[in-house]
Formats: sequence, structure tokens, C-alpha cells
Amino acid sequence: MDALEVLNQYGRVEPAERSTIDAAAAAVLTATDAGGPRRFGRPRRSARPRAVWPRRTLVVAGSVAAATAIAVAGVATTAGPHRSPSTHVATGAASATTHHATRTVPTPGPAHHPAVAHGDVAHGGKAVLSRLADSVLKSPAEAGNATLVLRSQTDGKGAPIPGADLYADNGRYYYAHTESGLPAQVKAGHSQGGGVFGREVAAAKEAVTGNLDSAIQAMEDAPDPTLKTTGINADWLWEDSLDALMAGAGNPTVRAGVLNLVASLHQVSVANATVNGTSALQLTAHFPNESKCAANHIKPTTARMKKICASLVGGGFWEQINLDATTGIPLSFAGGAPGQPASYHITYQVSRVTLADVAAGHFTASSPSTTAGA
Amino acid sequence: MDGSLDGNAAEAETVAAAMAGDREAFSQLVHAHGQAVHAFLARRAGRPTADELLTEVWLRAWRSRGGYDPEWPDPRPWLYGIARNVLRAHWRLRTDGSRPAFQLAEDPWPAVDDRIDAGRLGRTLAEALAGLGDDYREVLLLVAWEQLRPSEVAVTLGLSASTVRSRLHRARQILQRAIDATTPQHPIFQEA
Repeated sequence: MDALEVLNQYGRVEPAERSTIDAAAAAVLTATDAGGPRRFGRPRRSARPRAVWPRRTLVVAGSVAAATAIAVAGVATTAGPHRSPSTHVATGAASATTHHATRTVPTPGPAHHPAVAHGDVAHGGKAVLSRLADSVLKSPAEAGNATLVLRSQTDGKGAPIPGADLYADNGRYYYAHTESGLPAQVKAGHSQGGGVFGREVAAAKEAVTGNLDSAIQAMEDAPDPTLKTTGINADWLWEDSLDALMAGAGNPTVRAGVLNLVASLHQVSVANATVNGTSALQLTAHFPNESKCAANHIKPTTARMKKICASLVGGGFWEQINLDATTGIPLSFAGGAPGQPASYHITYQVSRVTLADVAAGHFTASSPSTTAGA
Repeated sequence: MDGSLDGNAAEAETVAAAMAGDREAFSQLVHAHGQAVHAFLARRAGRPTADELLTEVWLRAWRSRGGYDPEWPDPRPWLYGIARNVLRAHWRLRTDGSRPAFQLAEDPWPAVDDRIDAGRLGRTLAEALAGLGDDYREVLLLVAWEQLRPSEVAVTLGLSASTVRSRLHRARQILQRAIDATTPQHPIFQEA
């Protein structure tokens, strides 16, 4: 018997359900275009559509709404940086929901936390990210056991493309084209996560609980140890940090860690913005299309490094994310090619839910007492 | 994607459009090759894991489409390379941090040929494959299971075609010896 022939018979497997294939196709249709034509030496790690959260039916708890938005001094682009204590956060493209939606949303820090006043930071805004990280860390633990991210993406041509991501705290991930499809996915146990963002989320947490340099290395996942800490993987650090922010949106530690990580990037600038009435910090990252080694003044000294550097002609994109200035939660996202206007926009809507509620199609808040405006 | 000249031309156009960023075209690729990618995953990690990881593979493919060489006529070898990376990442993130020992997929032989002791031969195969190590085993499996040619395996694994041929030859020899050592004793090989 020929070895290959025998082995071939052991390779017979049952075909996938059509719904599994359809889910993959739908995910591609709603994925961001952030990857674009890419010449990096490895696949982009951003695996899922990046989320930003425009909100809709969110409940505000006045007792904690006094938390103050963080702002960058001198670069405010629109309204002042302070949130009105009574301002609810449910603005944005409030799309109709299939399910009645009363949910918890990631909460701001406690009311006694000192405000970072307008003018508190001189220029640039990197320090303000650290300040916001500190504030976010003081947020109470979120109710629920999963974070629901509803997103709407448009490239300015066709109709907005929706997507519903459900990131469970236990690492499972459920996807449906729209919110109404999630109950079936959860009930069927159809997790598509596979620990996809486990590394990124862990690295974000390490940026809070451990050493920042180690967290940076863990997040950027350099292809060669000799290239770590050189900054050559800044674009990967940015991308993966935002992936962690999406998957860990309901976790204050993850949000704070991401803020600490992106604050380390010189390619990122910070400005004030307002998104649908909500004070926001606007983070913009520029990664030009050039040799990453040359851009970082790295001279390869080994054959392996030369090979890696030759393959790392990259960047070629800009991305911008607006974060809620009080909670660090993403509000909107855009990106495109260098020097070109945004080729895509995404808005996000984040809330905390329980898997049981989602499976039942209720999407109700697990603990109204913790509900707060973000 | 019917394999005819027209079909091949149509697929080439679809692939080109997909890699240029046409979402609809990319979605067509998912439907055209989704089963093949799913099978790749299922053979190595079982069907439930394949169900979990399939979307991830395609999203990564979409993201990294800029790395696709237009000279490649068939996207499957490239897709298998991405699937392989996703699978390795999946194993790396197991809670115990370990990669599972190599094993053939459960129920690998649905239509078992009753002339052959599937269980016994399966154990022999699994042991021989486990002993090969990743580098050699994957070459063998891509040829036997995914029906790739050495030049296509080279695309999947990022190796030269000559390296693939060399590894395939050696892996095949090792596996053949293991099979030959097992099967002669089986009753079906005895003279009637």
C-alpha cells in the first residue's frame, strides 16, 4: 500500500455546515479595510472588524455621571472637554434594535476622582492618555459576562454594513450579521473565537499590572527577538492594541492598558473631538509606506535581520479612533491610505450583557445598579 | 469555478478582484474555497475547532491580501498557509500553553474499508506521523490530504520547491516503512 494513498483515506472529513461558510463570508463583507494592500512579512493580526461604539439606548446613572472627561489642552477641536453631569451617552447613529435593549455600559471612574481639567496638559496629549488610563482603572467592575459590540461600517458608497460581535469574558466570541442573529449563535455554542485575541488582551492587561516594556513586546509580537524594543513593529503594536481594545472593551483594565500602550507610540497624535455630543479623545496614527528598518534607523547586523528588514516594507496607512474621553471606550473609527481621505468609517455601540440574556434574546442589563453613562 | 478554461479564467478574475479589495469577490472566494479551508482545519484539529477558526482564517486572508502573489493561479496554497498560522496561534493560546500531540482526526475513515484494520493502521500512521516532526509531517499532509503539488506546498510553507520535494521524499519513505512493517501481518494480506 502506498503511504500517500493510505494517508489520503484518513483525511476524509465531513463537510462544514453551510451556515459556517456563510458566516465567514459575511464576516469578510463587514471587515474593515484597514489591512489594504500590505507588504509586511506576515499577515496582519487584526482579525476582526475593528469596533467603535456609537451608542443608542443606554441608561444613565446620575450618581456616577459627574466623572469628567479627559481632554488635551490647546487642541480642542470642538466643544469643551467637560461632560455635562447629566449628559447621557446614548447618541450616535441610533439604529433600531430588534431586541429591547437595556444594557449596562462600561462605567466612568468614580465621582470623587479628580477631574483632568481643560488646560491640564500642555501639548501633544500623550500624558492625557495615561491620565485617562488612571481614571478608567478606577471604574467599578462591569456587570454582565460579555461585551456586545454593534458596529456599522461604510465606505461612503453603499449602504452601511452592520455587524454584531459578542465577546464573552470566558474568551468565546460570537458573531452575527445583526444583533438578531446572536441568540441562535449563543444557544448553539457557535463560538468563532478560538482565543483569537487572547494574546492581545493579555498584553493590554500586562501594561497595567506588569511592566510596560514587556507588555509592548508582548503586544507587538516581534518576528525576531533582536528587533524587540526598536520600535520597528509600531504599526503592529497599534493594530493589536486596538484589537485588544475591541475584544476587551468591557474590561477597564484592558482599556487602561491599551491607553498606556498607544501612549508609547510617537506615530500617534492626540486631539480633542466630539462624537455625537460626547467628548472624545481623537487618536490618529500615521504609518507611512517605507522601509520599516530605515524609518526606525535600524541597521541590520545579521543575515536574519537583513532578511527581516527586507520584508518589512510596510505601513502605508493612517487610522483614527475616537475614544470616549471619560471611559476610554471607542466611539468611531476611520482610516485610509497615506495622504488620502478616509476610505471607511465605522461606528460602534458597546454594552455589557449576559450570555444567558442574549441566548434568550433579551439583551437586558444584568445589574441596573451599575448602569451608567459613559 | 468549474475547472474548464472559462471557469479557470473566471476564477482568476475573481481572485484578482478579491485581492484588489473587492469584498463581493472575496466573499465568492469564501464560498468557493471555504470547504477546503474548513477541511484543512478539521483534519488537523477536529470539526468543532474548524468551525471556530474558519472565520478567523478568512478575515486574516482579507487583511493580508496584499501579500498575495498574482502569479499564483490557485489561492488555496496561500489560504492553507494562513490557516496553518491561525491553527498554530490557536494551539499557542491553549490554557495549558501546550500544543496537542499529533493525532489523526476523530472518525477519520467514515467509509471504512472493511478489508483493513483501520484502528490498528491508524495507530501506526499516527505514531509515524508524530515521529516525523512538524516540518516533514506538514509537507506530507499537504500532499496527501490537500492534494497539493510540491510547488504549491512551497507557497503554503514558505519553502523552496526543492526543499519540499526533499522533505516529501524522506517523509514518504519513513511512513512507508511504518506501514509496511504493520500491514504484512494483517490477515487480509495473507494468501487465501
